[in-house]
Amino acid sequence: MNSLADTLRRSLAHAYYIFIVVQRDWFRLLDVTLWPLVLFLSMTLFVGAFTTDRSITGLVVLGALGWRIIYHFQMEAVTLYMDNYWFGMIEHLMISPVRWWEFILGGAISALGKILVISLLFLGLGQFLFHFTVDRWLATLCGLLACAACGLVLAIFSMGVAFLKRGDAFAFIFAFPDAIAVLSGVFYSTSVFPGPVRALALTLPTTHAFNLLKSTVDKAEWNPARFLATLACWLVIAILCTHWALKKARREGKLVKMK
Amino acid sequence: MDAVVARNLSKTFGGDRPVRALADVSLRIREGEIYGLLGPNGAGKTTLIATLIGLTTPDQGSVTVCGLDVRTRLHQVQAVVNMVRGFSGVLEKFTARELLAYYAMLYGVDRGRVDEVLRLAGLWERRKMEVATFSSGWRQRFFIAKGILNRPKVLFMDEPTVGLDVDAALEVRALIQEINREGCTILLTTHYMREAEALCDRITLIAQGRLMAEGTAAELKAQVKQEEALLIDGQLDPATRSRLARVPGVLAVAQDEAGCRLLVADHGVMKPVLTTLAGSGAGFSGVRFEEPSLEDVFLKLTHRGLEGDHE
Repeated sequence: MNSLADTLRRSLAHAYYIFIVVQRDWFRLLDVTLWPLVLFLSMTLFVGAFTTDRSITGLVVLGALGWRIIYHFQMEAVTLYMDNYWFGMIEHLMISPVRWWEFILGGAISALGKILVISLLFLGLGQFLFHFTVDRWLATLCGLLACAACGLVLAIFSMGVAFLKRGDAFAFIFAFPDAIAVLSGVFYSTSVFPGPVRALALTLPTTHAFNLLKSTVDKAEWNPARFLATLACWLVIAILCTHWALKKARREGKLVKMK
Repeated sequence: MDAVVARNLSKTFGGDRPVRALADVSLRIREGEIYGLLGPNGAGKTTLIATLIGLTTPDQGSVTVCGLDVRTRLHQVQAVVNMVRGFSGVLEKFTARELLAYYAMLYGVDRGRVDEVLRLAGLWERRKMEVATFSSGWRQRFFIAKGILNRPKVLFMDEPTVGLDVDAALEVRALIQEINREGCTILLTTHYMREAEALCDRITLIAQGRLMAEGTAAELKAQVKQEEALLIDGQLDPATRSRLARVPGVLAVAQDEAGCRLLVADHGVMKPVLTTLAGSGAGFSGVRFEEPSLEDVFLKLTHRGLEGDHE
């Protein structure tokens, strides 16, 4: 019980850090305001110029929201570690009793807060500009939660990369969720891809999470078994990789910044 | 009980050009003492600290802290230790109180302790200021506050006064003594011999990843009681230092910012040294004998100075 309370407290420490930074750093604030709006408006206005079909607009609104969820659940977990690295405090963090999965939990708590703001923006603007409303709330919520679960798995992978590659990991961490989202058919069917790419897309849990979102506007069919199977596989691989990466980083002295 | 026990630690970094950072290092730090690691930059002090606290895994050897094996019980070890580094960066945008509150959450200590350490470190008036705007002296006080936040049994202090002006360094040293009086065991690395002499109960000299000698300052200095230290005020070029090293009776030569230091067998070498200096046309403002210090012990054992070049 004590251990669970400790884990929660250390996870909250990450969330505390991230919320202070969001309040004081314009760049981080834009991450939950301007950048998501640019994505949202560019895609929805583009689609809106060609069709008034609510289901198509809904596809884009929910796809953009799912994409941001994956991004934030992945990025927030790594942000704290990377910030400590950039500012030369990594050893102070890693000497504390923090465990690697507490970065993931802390990131998830921060991501929840940010996603709440982005959801209000996207759904509010969706309704105001395109009269889009969520009809199947439960299925939509499940789809968004599925995206969050995928983001957590990507976060675990990214932590491993951060432990090993430190400053050089940032480009990968930044590009990883976006590349995965595009490969998973965020607003479109993965059938547009050539055969091998489509086969690869089907091994991604994100593809099935987006399918669940698309199914709420009748634009795809969802296979829960495939989603759970791919998610479980990715989760196990991610945990093993990150566990190995942390051990290797410790062996190579990468958890401390030498003079 | 020993607070820290390290047995036969070895560590090599790098692939194509491996660097041996630690070579068969063994040490025991007694509970309640201030234990000094004295050595020049690159001697292996930081690697040794990183290994003792589990941030780096040794290639060989074992470490226990407060009776806990660092390899198998790292999480428990991390709860009873903390660290202060002299050249840390600092997270921006946070006030001293906020950043300490963040660490308090990581360590599971209450917010009341945050205010307590702010007062102890003399930071109470600055608690609402951003740590990133602190001068190096205040910043170091902040790190000391962070270092004692979880009431550690062992505090690892890596060059805590590096880069500080004289007054700030004195204040930080006073804080270190106060923390130790509260019962905290301290491992202090430094390349300032006077700091080691003033603060440490026992000192180990470290060079190129090896522990060269261990003892109290007096015990270590007894190793050079037969010799003399000759200090030449001025910066000598390498050729002149080489010539001086070949003068009979000169045991070792090292150059640092203060001047060129010679460990010599007796006063009789003064004349040949002056002749060599005159012959080489070296610029210097004075030559004098000094009581041998820890630096001379280091010079004798390693033929290196604690700071700067050597011959």
